[in-house]
Amino acid sequence: MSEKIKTLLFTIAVTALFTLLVSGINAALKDRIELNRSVARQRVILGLFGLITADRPIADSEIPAMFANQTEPVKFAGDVTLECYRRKNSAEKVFVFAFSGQGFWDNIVGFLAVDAQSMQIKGIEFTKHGETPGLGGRISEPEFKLRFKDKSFAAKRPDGLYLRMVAEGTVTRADEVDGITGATGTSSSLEKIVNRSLAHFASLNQGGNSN
Amino acid sequence: MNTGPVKGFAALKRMLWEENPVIGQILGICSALAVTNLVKNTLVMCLGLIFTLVMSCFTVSLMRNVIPRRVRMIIQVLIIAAYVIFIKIVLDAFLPEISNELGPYVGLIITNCIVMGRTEGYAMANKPVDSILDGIGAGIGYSLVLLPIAMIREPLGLGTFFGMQVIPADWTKWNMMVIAPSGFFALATYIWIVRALKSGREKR
Repeated sequence: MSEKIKTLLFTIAVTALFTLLVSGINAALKDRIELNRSVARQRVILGLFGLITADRPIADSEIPAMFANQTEPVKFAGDVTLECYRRKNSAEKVFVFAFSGQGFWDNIVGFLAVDAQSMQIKGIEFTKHGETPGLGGRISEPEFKLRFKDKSFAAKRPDGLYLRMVAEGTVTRADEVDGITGATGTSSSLEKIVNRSLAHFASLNQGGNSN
Repeated sequence: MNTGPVKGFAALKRMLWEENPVIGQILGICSALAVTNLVKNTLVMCLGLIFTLVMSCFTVSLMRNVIPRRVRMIIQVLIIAAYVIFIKIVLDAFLPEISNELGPYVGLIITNCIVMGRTEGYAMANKPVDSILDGIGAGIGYSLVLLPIAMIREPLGLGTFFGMQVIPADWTKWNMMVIAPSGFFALATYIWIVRALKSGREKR
């Protein structure tokens, strides 16, 4: 009996000790981890505004200040869900907003940059996806993301979509985007996500924004 | 398995070749398949495993005389899990990009059979210093299998090495090499070659 109690007490003591260690480290580094996450997001948003380019790299430490100085959040009338930003003191009507949706495997999350004047996509970035490496995973390659650049969502196509993902290399119109061969699932999921996000943005933008 | 106790550097050395955890014991296969499509991720994974092995073996070995036999496995898992969570938190804090890319695999070090195999099979019955050496050996032995596989898979699959372009861009990438099935082929071929070499040596 006393053997059992000893075993129990020992287990409880060891568990408590290691739990304490792990939560101690977590508490000590929590702020830093949180900062890393927000810097990563801000870097993506700044990049979509064209403020970070390959030949002008910016250190992580400068990102938060730059983000605060150069961008401001946008709220649309009657909407609280859309995370959207624009440049401060800029005549351009470029907006960067968050999107997410079910991909082939996991959720695909990211940001879209659009020009509300010309109704064109300016860029797309993915902050999280779980698509098959080498196939659907190629959505995060720069070459793929460029396929969305300057695509128009001014009007819907006859099939009710703004943009259609077509077989790789068969784009003929400004409302078509090259899909990825071998990743039809990812391509059609992305088509759904992008069209839904654009529709949401377009409906809000029509209602006018109230800052 | 050797019968007598193996001490000191012999404990480290045998893990590299004779009793290599991946080749000899076919342990740690899941992670060997999953992370070996990028050399960088593989390296971080290997370092993470070496750290976990060394710390877990050391801790378990220190406590080996006070751990009640009945709960020894639970205690081992607890210790291993604590160190793995520690790695995950440190990666999140200091190497967020790599942590992001590795995704769930860091957490899965907990389930890497090599760690528990070494704590239960060696550290529970040996002194701390020997256990550390044994842990280092098993970790390096694991790395000796994973790194070469990654060095083959990444250039062929993505045309890069450590993220740098090494193969001309007009090279047709073997997408196959990036996805998990090629990990099976690469690992199996590697084990085949090494075992053939081993048995060749034993015959002589």
